[in-house]
Amino acid sequence: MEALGMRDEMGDKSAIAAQNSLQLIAFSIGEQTYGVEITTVREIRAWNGATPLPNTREFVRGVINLRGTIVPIFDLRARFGDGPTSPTKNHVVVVMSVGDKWVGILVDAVSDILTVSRDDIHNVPEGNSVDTELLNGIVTHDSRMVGLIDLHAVVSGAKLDG
Amino acid sequence: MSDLDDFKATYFDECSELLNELEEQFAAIEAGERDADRLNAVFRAIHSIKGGAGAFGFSAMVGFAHAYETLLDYVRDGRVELTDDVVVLCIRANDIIADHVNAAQTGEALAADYGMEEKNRFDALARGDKGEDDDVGGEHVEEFDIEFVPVMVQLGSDALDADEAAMALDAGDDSPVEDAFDAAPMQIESGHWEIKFTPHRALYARANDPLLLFRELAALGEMHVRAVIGEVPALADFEPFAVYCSWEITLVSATLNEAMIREVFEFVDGDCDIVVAQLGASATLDDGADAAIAAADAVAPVAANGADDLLALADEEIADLLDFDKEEAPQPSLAATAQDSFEEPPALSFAELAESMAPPPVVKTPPKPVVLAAATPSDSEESSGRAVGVQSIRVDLDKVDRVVNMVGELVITQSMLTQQMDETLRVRYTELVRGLEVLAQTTRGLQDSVMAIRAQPVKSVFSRMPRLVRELATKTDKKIKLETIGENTEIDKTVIEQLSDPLTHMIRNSADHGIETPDVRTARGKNETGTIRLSAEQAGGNILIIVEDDGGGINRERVLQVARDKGVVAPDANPTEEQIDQLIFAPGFSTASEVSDLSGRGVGMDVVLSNIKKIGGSVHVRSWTGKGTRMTLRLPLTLAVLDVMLVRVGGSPYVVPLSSIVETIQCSRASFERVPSGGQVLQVRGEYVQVIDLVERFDLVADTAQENRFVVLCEAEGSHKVALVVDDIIGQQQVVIKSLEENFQSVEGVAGGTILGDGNVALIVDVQGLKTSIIQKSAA
Repeated sequence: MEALGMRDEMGDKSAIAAQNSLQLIAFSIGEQTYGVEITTVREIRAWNGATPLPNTREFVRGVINLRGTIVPIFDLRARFGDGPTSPTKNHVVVVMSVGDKWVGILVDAVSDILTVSRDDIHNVPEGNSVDTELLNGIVTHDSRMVGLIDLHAVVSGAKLDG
Repeated sequence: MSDLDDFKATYFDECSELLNELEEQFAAIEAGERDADRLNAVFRAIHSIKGGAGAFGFSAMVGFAHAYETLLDYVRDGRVELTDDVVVLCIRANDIIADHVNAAQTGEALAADYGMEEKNRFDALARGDKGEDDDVGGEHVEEFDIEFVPVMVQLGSDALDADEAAMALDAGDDSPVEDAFDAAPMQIESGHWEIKFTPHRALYARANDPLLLFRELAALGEMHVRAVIGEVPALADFEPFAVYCSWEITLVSATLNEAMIREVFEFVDGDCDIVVAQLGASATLDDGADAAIAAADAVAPVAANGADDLLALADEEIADLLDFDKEEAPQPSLAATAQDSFEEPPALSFAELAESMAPPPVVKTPPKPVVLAAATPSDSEESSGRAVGVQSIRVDLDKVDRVVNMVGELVITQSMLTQQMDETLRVRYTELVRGLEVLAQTTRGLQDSVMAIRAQPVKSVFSRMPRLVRELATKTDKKIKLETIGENTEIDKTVIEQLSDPLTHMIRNSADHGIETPDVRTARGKNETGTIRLSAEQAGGNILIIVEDDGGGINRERVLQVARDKGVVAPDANPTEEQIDQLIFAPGFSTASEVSDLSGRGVGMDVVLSNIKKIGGSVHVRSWTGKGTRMTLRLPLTLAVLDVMLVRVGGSPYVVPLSSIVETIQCSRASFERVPSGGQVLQVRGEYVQVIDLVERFDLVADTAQENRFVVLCEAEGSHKVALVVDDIIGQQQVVIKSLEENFQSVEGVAGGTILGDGNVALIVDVQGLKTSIIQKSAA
C-alpha cells in the first residue's frame, strides 16, 4: 500500500520519529485495536446517523453530508463480519481519504495516536483470507496488537453483486 | 508570457467556434446552398484562423490554411467551380485544420507532411485555372485579384512626385519623429504614445489592411497619423508589390498602455515592424499637427502635379481612372498611404489644427477617396472584424459556475425558509410572508437568468456529427445522410459537454449496426442512402435528444441470444420486445459479430447509459424491425437545481424528480391487481401500470399501514408509466443534485443524492433505472 511507503511528515516533530517511524490513529472495535496512518485521516466526528443506501452490502451504513459533499460510511465491525454495529452518540466516524475519495468508517472509539517503527510491522499470518485481505500488517504497541487497516480493501466490494 | 498564453487561449476558443461555423456552412453548402454569403463566411473563418496561427507562429497551419484560402478565393470569384469534389475536399480540409488547431493547442507535432496531399490538390486546383497561388505572385499580376493594371501609372506618378515633394519638404521623411523626440516639452501629459509602424510585404500578402488597424487605434484615443512616404521611388523604379510606405502614429489617451496598442497589431505581428514608445514629456499636439500637415501638404501638390503628368502621358484610360480617384488599389500599401494621408489627418487633428495652423484649405483639396484599399479579402475581413466585441463577453466558466452554485444554495435556503412558515406565523407576520413570497419570485427569476447564461444551443455538439457520419460512411462503405433538427435548442453547458460522447456512440451504433449496406437497402426497397436523423426538442423540464435511423432495426433474436449467452438475462426469462431493445444498454453487451473499428469495441451502449445517467438523464430505445431504430435521450434542462417531491420510504427520505411525476394517489383509493409473477399492477383510468414498492425494492421496512401509503405515478422513458409505492409524501422542494460517485459509486435505483434543509442526505430515486433493472433482477 502506497500510504505506508510515504514518508511520515508528522513524525518529524518528535525525536524518536525518524524516517522509519509511522504515526497511526488507533481506534477500537470491541476489544480489538486497529490503526490507520494518520496522514490519511481527514476528520473525526461523532456518529449522527446516516441515510441508508439501498442495494448495497450490510457494511455500508449509508451516506452523510460532510459540508455539502456526500460521504459514504462503512461499518468496520460489519466489514469484519461481526454483524452490524448498533451505533450510539458515543460511536465515532473517522473520515479518511482513500485515493481521491473521502470515506467514513464507523468505529466504537478512537483511542490514541501511536508512533511505531516500520520495522516492527509484521505480516499478517496466512490462514484466513479475510485477515490478509483487510489488514496490511500487524504491529505491537504496549504489548497490544494493532491491526493496520487496508482502506482500499475495506471500501471495495460495497455493491450487492460485486 | 502569461499574456501571450491568454491570447492563445482566446485564440483557441475562437478557433473552435470558427470550426463549428465551418461545419455549419459546409453542411448547408453540401445541401446545395452554394451562395456567396456562405463562401464568404467560410473564407472569413479560415482567414481568421490563419491570421491567429500566423501571430502565434503555427507555421504548418498557416501554410495549409493559406493554400486552402487561395482555393476558396478562386472558388469565390468563380475561377474554380465548386463541384462536389471540391466540397468534399474542403470538408476534408476543415478536418485537417481542426487537427492542426488541436495539435497546436496540445503542443503535439503533426507529421511534417500532414495534409500535404490536400494542400497539393488545392494548389493543383488553383493552378488548373492558371492562377498563381500565393504571395510570390509576381508574374501573374493581371490575374491576381482585382484589376490592378492601369492604376499603377497614376500612383507611380504620384509616387514620383511624392518623392520630390517629400524631399523638398523634408517632413514626410523620418525627421518629424526625431523632432518629436527632441522637441521641447510643451504639454506634459502621460498617455502620449508614439508608434512607428512599418509593414512588410507579407502583411499585405496576408490581406491585412493598415487602415483597419488605424481605425482600431483611433478607438483607443485621439490619434494622429503621418505617412512616411519618403521611400517611394520614381515611377521607373516602382515595383508594384513592394512596400514603400510606413506610418508614424501619435496616440493620446489617459488610459492607455503598451499592451493595448500591441494588441491592435497582434494579428500582424511578425509581418511588420512596430516601435511603441511612450512620450512622457513630448509628442505634443503641435508636433503631431505639424507632421500631419506636412504629410498632407506633401500629398496635396502631388495630386495636382500627378494630374499634369498624367495628362502628359495622355492615356485615356488613366485619365479616366484618375478622375474618379477611387479605383482599386494598385498595391494596397500605396492605396492606404494615399487614403491615410488624405483622410486621417484632417479627420482627426483638423479641429485643433484649424486654430494654430494657417492653410487648412490645402488639406481639404484632395477629394476624399473611397475606401477601397486592398481587394476583396479585406472587405470580408472588415465586415467580420467590425462585428466582434460589443455584443458578448467571454467569462471564465468557473466564475459562472460559482454563481450558479450559489444561486442553487440560495434557492434551497429560500425554499427551506418557506417551509418553516407555519400557519400561526403566517397569521402573525403577514409582512414577513409577503417578503418571503417576493423573495421566492426573485430567486426563481435569478435562477432562470443564471441558467440562461449557461444555456447553449446543442448546435455545438450536433455540428461535430456530420464529420463523424462522413467518416463512418467511408469506413463502412455505406451511404449515410445526416439530418439535424432543432439544433438551436438550448441546454445547460455541462449537459452539452457530457453529450458529445454518448451521441457519438449512438450515431456510431446507428451507422454500424442500424443502416444497411446499399445493396441490402436496395433489395429491401429502400433508398440506397440511409438517413440518420438527429433532433433536439424541449419537453417540459426535459430536453429530448433523438437519434433515429431508417436501418434494419434491432435484431431481437440475436440480442436476446447474446444476452442469454452472456448471462445478462436468465435463460428462462421471457422479456418483452421492448425490454429486449433496452438490453443493448446492459453492461458488457455488444452484438457486433465482428469487432469493427467503429463500434463494438466491447464498450458498448452501456457507456451511453452511464454517461447519461451521470448527468441525470435517461435513455430509451425503440425499434421497428426492418424500418429503423429510435433512441431517445431525456436530459434535464439544468444540472444545478432539481424540482423534486420529497417522500419517505422505510423511515428514510427519498426524492422523486418532479418532472417524471404524473400524479399521486393514496393507496386506499388505488386499485391494485395481482399478476402471475407475483407482482402487482395498478389500474389507472383503464391503463395497467407496473407497481414497484420502494420499501420492498430497497429492502427496507415499511413504517406505515398499507392504506395510508401513497402511490406516486411516474412516467419513465417512452411514456411508459410506473407506479412507485412510498410510505408518505412530505412535500415538494428544490434540491441541488450531489453525486454519489464522487466519494462512492453508483447505486442501482438511485440517481444521486441531495442535502435537505436539515442537513440530512436524501437519495434521488432513479425511476428509469428501477424500471429497466426489473428484468435483470428476475434473471439474477
